[in-house]
Amino acid sequence: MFAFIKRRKNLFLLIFALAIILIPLFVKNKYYIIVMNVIGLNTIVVVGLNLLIGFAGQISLGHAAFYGMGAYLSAILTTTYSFPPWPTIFIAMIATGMVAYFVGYPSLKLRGHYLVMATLGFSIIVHIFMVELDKITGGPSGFPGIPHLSIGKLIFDSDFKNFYLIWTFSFLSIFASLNLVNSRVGRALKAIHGSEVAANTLGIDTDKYKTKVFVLSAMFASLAGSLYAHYITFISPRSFDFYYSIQVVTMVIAGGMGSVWGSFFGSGLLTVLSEILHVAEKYNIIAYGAILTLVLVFLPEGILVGLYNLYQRRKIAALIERERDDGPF
Amino acid sequence: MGHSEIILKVYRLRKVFGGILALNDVSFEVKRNEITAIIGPNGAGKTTALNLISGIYPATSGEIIFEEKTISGLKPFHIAFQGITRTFQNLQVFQNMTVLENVMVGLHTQTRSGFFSCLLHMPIVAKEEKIVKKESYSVLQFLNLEKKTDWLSSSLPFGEQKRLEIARALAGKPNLILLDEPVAGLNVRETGEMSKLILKIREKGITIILVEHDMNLVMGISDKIIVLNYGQKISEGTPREVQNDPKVIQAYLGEG
Repeated sequence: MFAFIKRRKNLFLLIFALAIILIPLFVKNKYYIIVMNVIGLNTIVVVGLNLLIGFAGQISLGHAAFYGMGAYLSAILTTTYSFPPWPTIFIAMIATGMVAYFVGYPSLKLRGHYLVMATLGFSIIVHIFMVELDKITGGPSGFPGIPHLSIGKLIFDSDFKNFYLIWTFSFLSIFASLNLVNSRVGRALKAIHGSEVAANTLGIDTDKYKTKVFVLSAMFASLAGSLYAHYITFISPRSFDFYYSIQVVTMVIAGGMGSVWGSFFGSGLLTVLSEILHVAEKYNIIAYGAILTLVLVFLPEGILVGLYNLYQRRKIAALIERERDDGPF
Repeated sequence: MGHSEIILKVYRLRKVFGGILALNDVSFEVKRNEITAIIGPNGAGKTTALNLISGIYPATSGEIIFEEKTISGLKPFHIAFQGITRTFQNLQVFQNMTVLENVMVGLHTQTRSGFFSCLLHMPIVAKEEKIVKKESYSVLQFLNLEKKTDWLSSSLPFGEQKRLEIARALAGKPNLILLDEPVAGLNVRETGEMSKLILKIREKGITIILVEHDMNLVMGISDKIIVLNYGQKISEGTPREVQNDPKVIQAYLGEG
């Protein structure tokens, strides 16, 4: 048990799990719980997206579309066609993953940032489908009446119940990402980021790895989308527009590219910020732009990692200072 | 595995970049467990030859046969799995990773766990991870880098980054290692250490192809030297034979 806790990764996970269990016992304000649920959903998307951005060095501006695909597939299949919800979440993830494969495979074979353009175009197309296929999707006015998820007699029909559901999946996505990052595959992805040529000559099929991690990150987004649909029970195209893609990319960068815990921090920080700025919704996008710029200029490692590094540097500087004082002079 | 004397055979290898003939029907053979050096003036096609053998560029024509298998036309990662790894003239260390992690990536060909098993941290992952760490430490020890395992590789001095690149290439247990200018930018002492290291690598039973400008090093440790000039092979033989070849002297010093 002690050896288990000694590993910092496991200690953080343990604290995180305890926090998830305890928070609803102390926080009785429903509004706070709703905000935290949104943070939990965003965390799933952002953790997945960070695998792509922070580890493989590729950028997607289409994650709103994958998030939306998960939501709409779950909504349509369970409501219109009476599919059972849990297997449908899985089906939606597979379907979204397949679509991501067809978007990612050709554009990741090209050198340079073609994936950005491909995903941008793709997300616009998906958004048009959501709006125009109104017989299937409900069009701009949205899709109502999506059933809540349930396990046996337990129906996840309140914000508090959904808190546990959503955060269980957030926990699992963080857990799985940490596993991936500290593994053969994670190192291969980091290596691709470091030097694609060198990675290739060491046996890493760089095209395949980039495509796979893109597909994986799309599946994370799809999962979050399905959970969102079953939680809110109503979805509309507005939630899955281009602005959401920008939001999640900002969360990855603010939290720290390549840091799994940073993703959690980034989605927390920026979700809360959006809530605070809710009164002035027009200025939301400006705030996001400003944060993105400021972070990239002053703390390119991300806020969490950047501040930690600053603290470390201070500590080392203080140590050197003290040694000087203790010296013979 | 066939254990013929010849580990690598290059036959009429040609590479054209745009209109420039970088390598013009070059043929040569590399003997198992020998040190073969490729030398020649700047622009002779030495690095191009390494890039073709390691698959970074496809050959325009010709054939490369490694361990009696044709490898020309394969992608670099396939060639790595066949047992050829390399270092680079302009360092390609993974700057964003620690020394240990760099070497661990070198063991990619020795391990199998994929996305799914890594996400779920299946038992095979833990088992492989243990082996990978152990092997990496022993490779780092071989290169005298064991005290710097947790350093970020970009914070190492230049000479150690060069050694790290060799460590990473050795970790994949290659039969043939390609060293592209291993002592470029090193001082006299470091160069001496590097030449000892290269001989130690050969002692492990690994075949070495070396591209290098430092003639003291090349003449001191090579079993065989191939001389290229303007993409053509102009001479080949032992260091002594090559040194006395008038064509080589002419290529390096010009016509008197």
